[in-house]
Amino acid sequence: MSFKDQRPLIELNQVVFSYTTDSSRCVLNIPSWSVSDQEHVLLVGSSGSGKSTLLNLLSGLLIPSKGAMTVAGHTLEKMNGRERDKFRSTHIGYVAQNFNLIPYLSAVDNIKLALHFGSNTSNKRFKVEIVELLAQLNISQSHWNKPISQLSIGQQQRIAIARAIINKPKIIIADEPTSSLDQSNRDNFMSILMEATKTHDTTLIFVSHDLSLSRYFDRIDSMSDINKTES
Amino acid sequence: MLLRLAIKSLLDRKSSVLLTCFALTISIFVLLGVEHIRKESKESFSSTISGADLIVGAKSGRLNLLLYSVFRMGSPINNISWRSYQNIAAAPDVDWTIPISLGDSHNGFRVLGTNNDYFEYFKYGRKQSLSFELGNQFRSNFDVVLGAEVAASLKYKLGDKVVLSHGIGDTSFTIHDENPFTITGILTSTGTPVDQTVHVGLEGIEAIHQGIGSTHAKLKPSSITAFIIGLKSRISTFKLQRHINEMQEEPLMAILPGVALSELWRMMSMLENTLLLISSMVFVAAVLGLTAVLASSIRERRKEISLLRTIGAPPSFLFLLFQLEALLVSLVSMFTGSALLCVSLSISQSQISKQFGLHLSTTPFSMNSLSILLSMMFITALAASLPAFQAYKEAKTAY
Repeated sequence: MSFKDQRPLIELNQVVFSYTTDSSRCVLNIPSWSVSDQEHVLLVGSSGSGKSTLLNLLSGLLIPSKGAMTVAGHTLEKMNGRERDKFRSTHIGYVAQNFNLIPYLSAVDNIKLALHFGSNTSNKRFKVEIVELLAQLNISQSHWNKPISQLSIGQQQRIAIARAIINKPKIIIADEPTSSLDQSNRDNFMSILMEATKTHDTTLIFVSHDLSLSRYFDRIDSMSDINKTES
Repeated sequence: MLLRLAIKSLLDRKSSVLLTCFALTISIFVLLGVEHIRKESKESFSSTISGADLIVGAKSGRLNLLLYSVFRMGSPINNISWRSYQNIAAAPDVDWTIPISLGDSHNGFRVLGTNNDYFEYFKYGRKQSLSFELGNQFRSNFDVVLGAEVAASLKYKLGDKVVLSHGIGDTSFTIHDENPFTITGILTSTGTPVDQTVHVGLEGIEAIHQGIGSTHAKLKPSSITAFIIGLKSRISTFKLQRHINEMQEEPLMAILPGVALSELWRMMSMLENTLLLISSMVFVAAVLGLTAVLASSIRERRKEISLLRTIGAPPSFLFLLFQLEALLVSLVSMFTGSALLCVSLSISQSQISKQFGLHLSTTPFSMNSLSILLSMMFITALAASLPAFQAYKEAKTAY
């Protein structure tokens, strides 16, 4: 599939980000970077190269100090905090390292929580959507109401993916979700994630140190090429 | 979802939450208990006597006279001669009198010597008269009429024999067992010290102290402890009071029950306020404990906060989550504290009634206690604002 002719879903122009007001100490300086709709991008880079900061900018948790960012048709730097929270819950699905599920909630409640923030659906509809998704991801019904802490890594992987796609987001951001997994769990996770993004026509931004995952992606971007503060 | 999350989050930190709940429960128990006893004692005292214009006794303190004559508390320091009583009772302004003779007891319940005017004129609550549940008033010297609680707790019925003891303690070395009294009446419950009183005729009292066994002998008491006066017109109250207080023949004192009660409230209010202050402080300390538990949990919940932010939770959601957790802990504690108080009141009700003559209802809920509970919720919300705001700040600056 060629993404070159498509209108980008994510577009960054002259984006600079600094945690302090001192612009000379910026952690990100991206002259231009874009990702097309449904494109799967593997983002690689060393620790401290600004990967997590870039992901936080894309999800609207941070706003750029300078420059323009358009994500899924929204100009993030022009939105207020509440609008960005709503944008994140409806347009971004997030899978983090160790899956970041709330351990004391059940699988269903973890997913429901994401649905709560990202959807205007009624409670009754919530249940139908969650049940459909859990069945689709082959999560056994006996695990639906167990606290996350009692589930295996494999089950947690599926639930994290279910939570990320429940709101049918345009973009899934995965922040090193495979870094602490063994080979078999990693392959398992990647195949479920790829299947889910394909089914839901989702764009994927995947951060990892592991270049062996490159076969799953349309494009591999190195932070050293994107972020000009490193050079 | 917010409520579900708050409940599950609290359940996940059971041990610290339970300890906080326990501290809050105790403080709520104390605070509501103090308020309940304050309210009930005031109501109970206020409704004990009604329609009486003056109470007359030997010269002592006004409160002492009120307490021993009406509430059966404390002891009289002297008696009134029968002649002085008759002189005052014969005054043209006096409508009725009730003589009171104290000093004996039966199984820890105080004995009150009086005459049948007591059953006719004594009023309590909103001018309610005494009525008989069973039997009727005195017909002979050795008849006894029991208050409702005496009959219930000692399981007495009409016709049973009762022996009086000299003195008002639970134990006595002088028992008038040669002259037993027969129960001829049991009064309907009034919720006043009348319920814990054993009523006998003045002649009966005189008979046991003189060792006369005749049931119909005309005996004239030489003295009584106090008497209650009802006047034909209230206008003459102060005139008669002054007259009694200035009597040369015998040093007597007449008090207005309402005025003496107000004096009692004034004295009590200091103690009440101190108790309320102490119990409020205990509550504030417990709420601060809750605040500390919530504040210290922020560090260990950083990951949870950042996760919630990632899936779209606004910082205000985190603020509300912490507030709701605090309010839930407070609500549960209010429920357990109130339940504990209800149980304690049911268990100790009869003992308190017997020991202190205080009738406490087992439901400690009133507009006052409701406003205390609402204030507690407000204080909890106020105290929880600090950790809730910290969580809000954490949510805003976590990235």
